[in-house]
Amino acid sequence: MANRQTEVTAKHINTDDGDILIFTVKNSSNRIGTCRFSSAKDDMYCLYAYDDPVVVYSGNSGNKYADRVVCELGPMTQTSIINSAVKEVYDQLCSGAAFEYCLPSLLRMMPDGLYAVSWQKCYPTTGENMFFWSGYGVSKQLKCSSRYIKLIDENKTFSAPFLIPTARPVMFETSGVMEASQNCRRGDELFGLSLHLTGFYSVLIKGHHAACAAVVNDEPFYTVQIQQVRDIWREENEEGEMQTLGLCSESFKIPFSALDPTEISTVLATRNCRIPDTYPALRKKINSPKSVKSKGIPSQYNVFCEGYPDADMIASAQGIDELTPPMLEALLMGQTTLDEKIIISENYYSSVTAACNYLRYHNTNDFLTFSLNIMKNPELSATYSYVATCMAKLHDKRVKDFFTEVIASNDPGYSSILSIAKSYLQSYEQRQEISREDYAKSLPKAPEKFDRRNFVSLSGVSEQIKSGQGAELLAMHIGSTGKTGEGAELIAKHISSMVSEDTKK
Amino acid sequence: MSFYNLSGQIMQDDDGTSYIISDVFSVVPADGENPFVCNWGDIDSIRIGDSIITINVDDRVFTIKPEFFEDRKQFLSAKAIASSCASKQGVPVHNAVELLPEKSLYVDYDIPDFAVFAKGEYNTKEIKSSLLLLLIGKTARILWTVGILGGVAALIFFHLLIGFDELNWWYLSIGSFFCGVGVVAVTYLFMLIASRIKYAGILKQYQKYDDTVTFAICDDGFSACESVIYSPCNIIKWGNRDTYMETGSMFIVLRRNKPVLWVPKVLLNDHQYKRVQEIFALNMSEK
Repeated sequence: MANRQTEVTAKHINTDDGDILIFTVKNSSNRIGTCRFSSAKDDMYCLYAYDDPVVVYSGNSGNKYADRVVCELGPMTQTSIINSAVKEVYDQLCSGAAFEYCLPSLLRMMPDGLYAVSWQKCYPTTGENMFFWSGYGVSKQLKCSSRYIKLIDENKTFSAPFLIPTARPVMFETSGVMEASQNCRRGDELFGLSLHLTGFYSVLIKGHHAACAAVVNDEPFYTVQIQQVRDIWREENEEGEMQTLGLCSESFKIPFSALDPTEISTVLATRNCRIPDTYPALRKKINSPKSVKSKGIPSQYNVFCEGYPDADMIASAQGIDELTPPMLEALLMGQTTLDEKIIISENYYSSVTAACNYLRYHNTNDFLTFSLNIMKNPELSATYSYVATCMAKLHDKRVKDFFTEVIASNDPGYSSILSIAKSYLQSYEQRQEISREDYAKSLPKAPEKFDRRNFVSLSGVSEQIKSGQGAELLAMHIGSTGKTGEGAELIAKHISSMVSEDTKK
Repeated sequence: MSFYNLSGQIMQDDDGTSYIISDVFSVVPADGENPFVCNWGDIDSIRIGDSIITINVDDRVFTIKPEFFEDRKQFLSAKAIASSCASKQGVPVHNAVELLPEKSLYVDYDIPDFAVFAKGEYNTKEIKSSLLLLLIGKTARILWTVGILGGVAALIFFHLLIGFDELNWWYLSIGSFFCGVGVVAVTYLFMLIASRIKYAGILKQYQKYDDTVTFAICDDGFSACESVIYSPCNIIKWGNRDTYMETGSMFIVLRRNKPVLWVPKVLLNDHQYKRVQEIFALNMSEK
């Protein structure tokens, strides 16, 4: 059968959640995708790039709320064709090109289906206050990485703000951080390029040093996030019947009415996993022993990341619509309902933990007030341990005073949190503030930034060369490559003069 | 679930309605109406013929006719996906009788590189002769019983009609023996005709499509699948009560006394033949 050409089409659709940019991919080459593979442990999946395993993770398909475990990470851009496509896309994004223009060259390598692209604010952590690039040395359970998250209503969409690296820590270069700080921006924002993997997590395929720069400069970090939309969006209607309304993913809901029948067919025909042609090589690489290199990311990054919200906070912030003072008071009185409505959950323990995380995300002061009030109520002692653990994550004088009081009081009611209090006080005294500015100053300066212009590719311009625009295009191309060597400059000048002479003639 | 090597299949009827068999079953009307999307677990039953698929959901029946399929590969792919997805959800799949094992028996498993692999086509003559041997193997006990019963019945009949005495006992005995043999012969002929009728469909179907089959046999299980949809990632694991028999031209694996795998010996070289014998002997008892 003849090979069919890959088709990538882009369109904007208006939904209740706003404007969404979607791409439909047909007849793709399947160079990047997810496959399932048999192993002693059941249900293992692998995100692959051609014949390289990128992320190997557990599936837990039996339970829709079960977290995934990342077992292995590998580089994404080892294959030259993928590497050059990713680099080209990223460069074009840096120069401000529209998503519709630059993403198709990457999307054509991904499996057939529907993809939504968004400009997503991300926290460069593992979801647990650890810098993402250094946090995946061993098998790691990803909090809130299931398709559905218990605290968030199944009909609600949620964002995926945490990152999984695809470059090994040995690739980290201190000189790259300041360089990325200057060059890896779209507009004024530091950014990367990511593929959504599962739940709150996406795989960063480009922009690792930009993420480092964001952490060091305390700037927000964004990614151009590509998310496949392949689940069926079903909701109950007023009569209690399930209706199929459209397609959905973790962050998007797309009604069928926004798609034409061909697009719908393409998505519905897409399988969750496909075995790629490169499967034998992929399997060999997964099973072969890996060399462990010791070079890692400087420890300062983990310290800088302590201030980012963790997965529990994000889940609570996205899952709880509101938490008013009367609701908090009811929780403090040991109730889970207010005016016959469930505040958060029927389970008291879950309600308090979710409330703590919600308050930690929105307002630290409110959180401290709430948790100190919980600690004063002996009837709520079942929640002490969790609340104390949350409090211990803050470096605050009120927390220090409370833990000092706990140790001094010898109250048997606080026995469950004594060890937390002791270790907190110990680390509180030893804690040394690491200044971001000082660290940034210690980094090697980036080479002087050249005046970057949009890259002009010479591929596919034969028609223009025939029509006499060859010299002009070549000059523009040399200029856009940023080569400042004299040779390139002279050629550029020479060709420009030829062009101007031609114009005079 | 298995057959992850296959992509979802879109079949279109004359009106432009698309029938999609993938991780879900869906029907997309051409006029832009909302599609009908259904999880495999919500399907009542599936009937798969030699080139047609019928899916029953609630009180709706969707028939994907032979002319909706682009080619044989598309039908085989759709059949494999539907069978494996539906059976995983416990949905009854009614398949036409065929030589190759049902697709619903396959599980996701990587066949090791050192398995025995073979590729080729079935020879209908070999199948016919193997069917005969299989029939004899299956019905030997029945035939013995029928023969003995026939002989005893003849003895009783002769005794009542003529009566045994010193002069006639030996020729009445011989007569009863031949009556028994006759009953066996008639029963055998009857069974032969019945089995020919039963397996005629398979042979006709096989002769019609002439699919090339890829075989893989290893310590963990086996695979015998049309080469166009074969993948070394699908396997049927050996069952506890599997048995096998060896005829002059075939290895036949039986599951619950029904043939599930037919391996033509002609496709195996000497080394492969010995290895298959070893694997079978290790995992099953010989019938």
